[in-house]
Amino acid sequence: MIAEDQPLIPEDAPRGAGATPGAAGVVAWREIRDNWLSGRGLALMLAYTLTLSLTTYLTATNQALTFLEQREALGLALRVAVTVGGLLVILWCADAVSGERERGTLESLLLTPTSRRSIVIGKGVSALTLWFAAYLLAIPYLWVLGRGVSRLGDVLVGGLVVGTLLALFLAGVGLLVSMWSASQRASLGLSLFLLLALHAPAMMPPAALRGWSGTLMRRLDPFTGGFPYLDQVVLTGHPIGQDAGMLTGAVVAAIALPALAVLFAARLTLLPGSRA
Amino acid sequence: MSRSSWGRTAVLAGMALAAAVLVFWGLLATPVEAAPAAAGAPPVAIRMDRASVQASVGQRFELVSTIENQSGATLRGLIAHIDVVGTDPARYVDPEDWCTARTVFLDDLSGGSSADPRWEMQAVDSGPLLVWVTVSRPDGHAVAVGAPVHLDVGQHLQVNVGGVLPVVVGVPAAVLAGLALVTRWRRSPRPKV
Repeated sequence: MIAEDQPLIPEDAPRGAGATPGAAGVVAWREIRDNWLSGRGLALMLAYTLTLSLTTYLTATNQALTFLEQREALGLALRVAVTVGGLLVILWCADAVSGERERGTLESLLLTPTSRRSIVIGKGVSALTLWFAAYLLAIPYLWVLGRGVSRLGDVLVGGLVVGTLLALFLAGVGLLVSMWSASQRASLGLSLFLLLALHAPAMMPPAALRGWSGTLMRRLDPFTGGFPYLDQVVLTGHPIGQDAGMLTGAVVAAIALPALAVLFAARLTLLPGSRA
Repeated sequence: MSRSSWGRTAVLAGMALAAAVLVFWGLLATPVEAAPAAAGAPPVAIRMDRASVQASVGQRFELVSTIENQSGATLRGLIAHIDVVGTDPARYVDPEDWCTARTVFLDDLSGGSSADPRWEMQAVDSGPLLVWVTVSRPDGHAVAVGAPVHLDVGQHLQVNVGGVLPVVVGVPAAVLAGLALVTRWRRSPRPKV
């Protein structure tokens, strides 16, 4: 949300649908500052760390009772860290445009001398800072669960790579949904539904993903490709480069969805469906 | 025994110990070669990528076998199968628990070519075990057997519960402190420029 008393962009700056790096950077900086200094980003981080604390504690204490191995405990915590980090990004992006629209601040935002694409890029970059902050906070949990596990560095790098790809993809999904939603509630609901629908195949047992349909799902769904890749790094101890091919779908989705969001940002209007 | 013969004995004992260590390490490091094929068994050599595996309970690992056609003719319909047995009579071992996909139907193997089936394993209990791969024909009367891989599964790694607590409590507390600071800063009166 941008609600400051000073002008967002200098009055003589060019306006239009296209994005300029300077304008997008200014929007991103204002959004990031607002997100973190308003306390909303930190409130989300508090919820995130509480979730990780609960998961880590249960995982660590249950190991004494069950045969959950240390690598499996680490893998479980990493999945939670990446999934909840992605959830924060998609929720933030789902609110980015539809929230402004519902609060009645989108009109003044569109009247600022900056392009629509710059606004959308700035909001996307701001949402991605949530993921990076979340992963930074997850590192102590992963370290404490993974002490003594070989290749812990690979696990941390693998988590960062997969999480960043998923965060980019989810930022694109959230922004697209937000641009086309009339209300914040519809945008949040649809984004959450999409997140769950995309996440569901990754929860299936490997046997269910055999055959051509399973292969297609692994190639297309970034979650279904990303999480088994993490399993290979964490559980089997493979180096991060060995199974990089499994991330093809995630890389394509991480480029395509944000690019689509920026492309359609030029058509951003006060009401979805109306002419700009 | 004279002092010189004691010295010779000590040198010999040292050499024997060194040889034993070398043989032991060699056993660990070199891939396992195939045992001679039984009469009527498929003419294949079965090699494993490792001679031994050290693992902890719950750990997943992968074994790679190489099945080489040692005849000049193409072999069709070969079936590779992996088996696990515990050498400790007190331990019950169900191979299905250790490897969920234990059978691989191989593609046609032309003379001199080889196939490399991979076996995803998970150690479900501690103790000494043997793992080996067999190759058979659908209508065969004998089975080719590879040399076993020695599996030594130790107690499973556990997370130190006490070590987890400072992180579990400390990280949210630090974020909460940051949130309180930001809230206080926002509420404090700031001079207008």
